[in-house]
Amino acid sequence: MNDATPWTFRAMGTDVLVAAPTLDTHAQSLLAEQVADLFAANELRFSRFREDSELSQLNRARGPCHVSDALFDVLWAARAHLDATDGVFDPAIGAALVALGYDAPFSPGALDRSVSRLPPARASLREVALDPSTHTVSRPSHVQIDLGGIVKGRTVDEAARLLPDVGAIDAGGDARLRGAGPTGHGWLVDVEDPRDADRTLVTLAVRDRGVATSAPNRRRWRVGRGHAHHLVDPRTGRSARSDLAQVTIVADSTERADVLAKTMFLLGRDAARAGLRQMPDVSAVLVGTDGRTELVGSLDVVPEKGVARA
Amino acid sequence: MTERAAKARPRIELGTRELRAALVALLAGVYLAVWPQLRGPSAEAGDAPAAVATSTVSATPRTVWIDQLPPGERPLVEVPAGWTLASSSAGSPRELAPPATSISRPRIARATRSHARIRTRSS
Repeated sequence: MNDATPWTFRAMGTDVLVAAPTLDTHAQSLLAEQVADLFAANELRFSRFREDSELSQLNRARGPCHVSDALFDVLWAARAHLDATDGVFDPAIGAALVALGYDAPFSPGALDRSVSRLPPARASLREVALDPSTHTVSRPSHVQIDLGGIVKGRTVDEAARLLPDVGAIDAGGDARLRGAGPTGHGWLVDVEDPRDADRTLVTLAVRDRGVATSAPNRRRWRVGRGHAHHLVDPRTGRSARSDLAQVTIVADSTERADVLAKTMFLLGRDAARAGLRQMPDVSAVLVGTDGRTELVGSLDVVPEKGVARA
Repeated sequence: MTERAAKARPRIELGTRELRAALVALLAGVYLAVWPQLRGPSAEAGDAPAAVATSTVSATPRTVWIDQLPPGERPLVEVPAGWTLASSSAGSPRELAPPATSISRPRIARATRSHARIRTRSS
């Protein structure tokens, strides 16, 4: 009988879990190594905290740049998400994040500062010219790109292609779940209570889907007398104010779940609910700042606690 | 000792008419000296025709970078949303340095829990 214990490693600032219970131990180990290499390569290329990353070079470059296929594909995909969300999702928030204090990898207390800075001039990925025939990118100097809202989910999807018919990749809550899980009844996904990390609000059984969550509680730091968090609203350049405390999205890919989780958080409860109803292939768990939890769309809930279904 | 009386300086006695004539002569001399600069270049017999700085219609269409035109002569260009005008000084797109070829693999270990149970966290 195979050992179903997942393998884990640290990448992109989080713990990554690789589960393939139908493989033997040696095959699981090889799979975990391949997934780890993929995460390391993408972090090297897309991290804005590494000066030598291709993204950081692009953010410093003047004039048109020829970029790698990998970077161009991410930018092209980001542009598509921007268009699909009417600009609510926009990765041109690098300068805003730095102005808020998020200028280094997050760890509790590391970003605290006594004074706040004014948000920079508004920027959008729409201002960046992308030439698909030459993979050339022309970026106005005030546009600083941050791919944190798309790369992790996208990397999870890429890694999931290496999985057998039953497997899971979980990168700090951005997860791609293939098959019906180790028990045949779906992979279990515990939706954490944003007010109490030890408490579970609802447990879902998920098959062949991507899952992602957005909430401001974990990446939050002090700025003067207030706080900032990493979910920046590109329309204001400031940490978003929402009547939602957390959004969990279940979608056909982790990348899409990642993008939509942030988008719905920025939109707020009513607009999120309305937007989600336009997407029948997407489901969500919306947790309000008032503590109320709603389920939107088709979700397989493992009955443990009563929640309101929208 | 013989004292000599200081020699008187020669005096030129000029009347008004003489002064006026002298002034006119002076001004005329100055004018004649600067006249070539005021008139500008002129074609004289045997000189090649001066170059004409006007656009001509040639058989081959000319190409000029818009930002090389003087600001007052640049035509108004409506740029579609998402597009930017390239600069003539940009030249060919630059190549970015490739990421480091040696990627260090993160340390891999068995997880502490026996079954993968996903717990949502904000990413």
